[in-house]
Amino acid sequence: MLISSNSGTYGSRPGKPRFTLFESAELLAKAGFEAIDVNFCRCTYQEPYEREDILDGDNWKDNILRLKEKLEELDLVPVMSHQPFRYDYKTPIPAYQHELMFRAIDACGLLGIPYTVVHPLRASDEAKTMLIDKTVEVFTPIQRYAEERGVCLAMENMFNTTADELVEIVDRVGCAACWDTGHANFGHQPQGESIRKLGHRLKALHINDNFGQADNHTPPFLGTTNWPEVMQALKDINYDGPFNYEVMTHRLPDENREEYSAYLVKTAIYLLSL
Amino acid sequence: MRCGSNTNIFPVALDDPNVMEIPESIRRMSEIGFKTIEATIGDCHVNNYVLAREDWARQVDLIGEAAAKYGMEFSQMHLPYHRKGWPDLDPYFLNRPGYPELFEESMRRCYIAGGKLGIPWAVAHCLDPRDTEDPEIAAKINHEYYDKYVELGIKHGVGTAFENMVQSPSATHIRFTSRTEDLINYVDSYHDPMVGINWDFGHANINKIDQAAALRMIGKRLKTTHVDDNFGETDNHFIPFLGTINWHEIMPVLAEIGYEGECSLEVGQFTKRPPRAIQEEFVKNAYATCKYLVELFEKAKAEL
Repeated sequence: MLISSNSGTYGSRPGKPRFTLFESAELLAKAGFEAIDVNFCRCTYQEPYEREDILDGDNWKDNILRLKEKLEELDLVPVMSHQPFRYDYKTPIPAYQHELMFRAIDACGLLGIPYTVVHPLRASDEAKTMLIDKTVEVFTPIQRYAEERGVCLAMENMFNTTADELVEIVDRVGCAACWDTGHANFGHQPQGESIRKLGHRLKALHINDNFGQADNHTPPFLGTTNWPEVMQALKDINYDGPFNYEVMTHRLPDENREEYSAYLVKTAIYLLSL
Repeated sequence: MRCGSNTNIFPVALDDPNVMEIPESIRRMSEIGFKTIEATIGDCHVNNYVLAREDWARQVDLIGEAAAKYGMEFSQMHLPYHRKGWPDLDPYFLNRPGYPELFEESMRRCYIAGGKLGIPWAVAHCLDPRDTEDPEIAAKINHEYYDKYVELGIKHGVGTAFENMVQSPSATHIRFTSRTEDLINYVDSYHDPMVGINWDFGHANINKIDQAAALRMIGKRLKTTHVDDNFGETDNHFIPFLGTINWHEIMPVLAEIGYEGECSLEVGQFTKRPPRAIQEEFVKNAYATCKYLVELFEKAKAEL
């Protein structure tokens, strides 16, 4: 299982421009990661310092091919990605968002990324009710578009997504699943049982923790997730995707991120040894 | 300012039934780079509590020898404290036979140990009487309890630093010393340079206090720190920068008010969570953030 991290681990930082994807890849490789989750989430952000601009402009394909070269040079496998998702959960997806999603899928194809993570649609009510039919309707053609480029969508559990709901969406869309351990802990979803229900559908992970009170995205053990239970379930289903982190680091000073990333790698090695 | 931590940064790991002895914690702290120590010798609720042992005086010597051997200095120690701020609400007082006596004896032994080890400050939590929110009455109750210990500390050359306490967001009762002005008034009422303030940044973050303004009010009364972070809701004792505290704003204020103490982490509640096999790696991260904070302070001090 490759040890991977979302490139956002070296993304935003307080009061300064974002690290570029190129810088992020360098820093992750230096920390000992073997693979990278190329984060396209911030491509839709407009705020100063927050926008990821790699997909901007007419030369975006050149940017992606340069990134591909960089990743090869660093021996960092582009193993998954995260699609842009920042939009009002009321459908339909805004045109701008929609266009960026297709562009990000094209980018995955160019990079050889097999799975790209998307969020299911939810209602804008307080409970953020899952919109299963709408999710299937919106994402099925996107999945077909992705397949034509050698890419598969990986539908992620939100805090209120049950394993049964995720299985239904995945099977109807014909895509894969991504399990976010932090969302599940925050939503008090049974981790082991859910992972086993997903079984062969599970192709991607967002490894993070919290105390069950908010979606904090802390590293494993810095929260209340039962990690031996998660790891046993991954073993039980013969999970062979990446062990991929999605932890929050945006407040950490630049100077402290390398040490923090090295700790994440050591934590992954420990968890994989269980 | 130097990087410090309380000795609780290592002893407990949730997956390990063995609790590390304080001298070994000091050795590991030194290896990582910490220079100063808050001796956590007031945890009288824990099993095999160091000051409850028959040879407690020898144990204190061992702690001092470890500090000397590894070139560490004591900045402070932590006194025993009442859970929920009041003996009648403290489950240990209520449920453990002999605990009240152990508690008071531990207070006494802490100050004696502090004197032997040359510890300048003992950190104390004020009592929080639940039947009043009048700070003057609460101060009177605290004087009745603490004055004898403050005197004992003076006798042994140990000052007492009262801490700003956390006001739980869900509590209806205003906790004594959660408001900065109450803490200042209480400390000032001693009229003694051997009484000061310990500032817990995490507590202040939950209390939604303007920390820069509070620290300017406190000024030279500030003697010691508890450096920890949180998201403003729960007293998590995260390492700095994993919560919402604006450290870039706060550290220059410490320089501005002429703070002469250390940057002392109180993150043992957090560092006990990673398994023992990777705990040290996490503590290295804690140290790295502490070092960064010290650099912020020193840079601001140089620019004054």
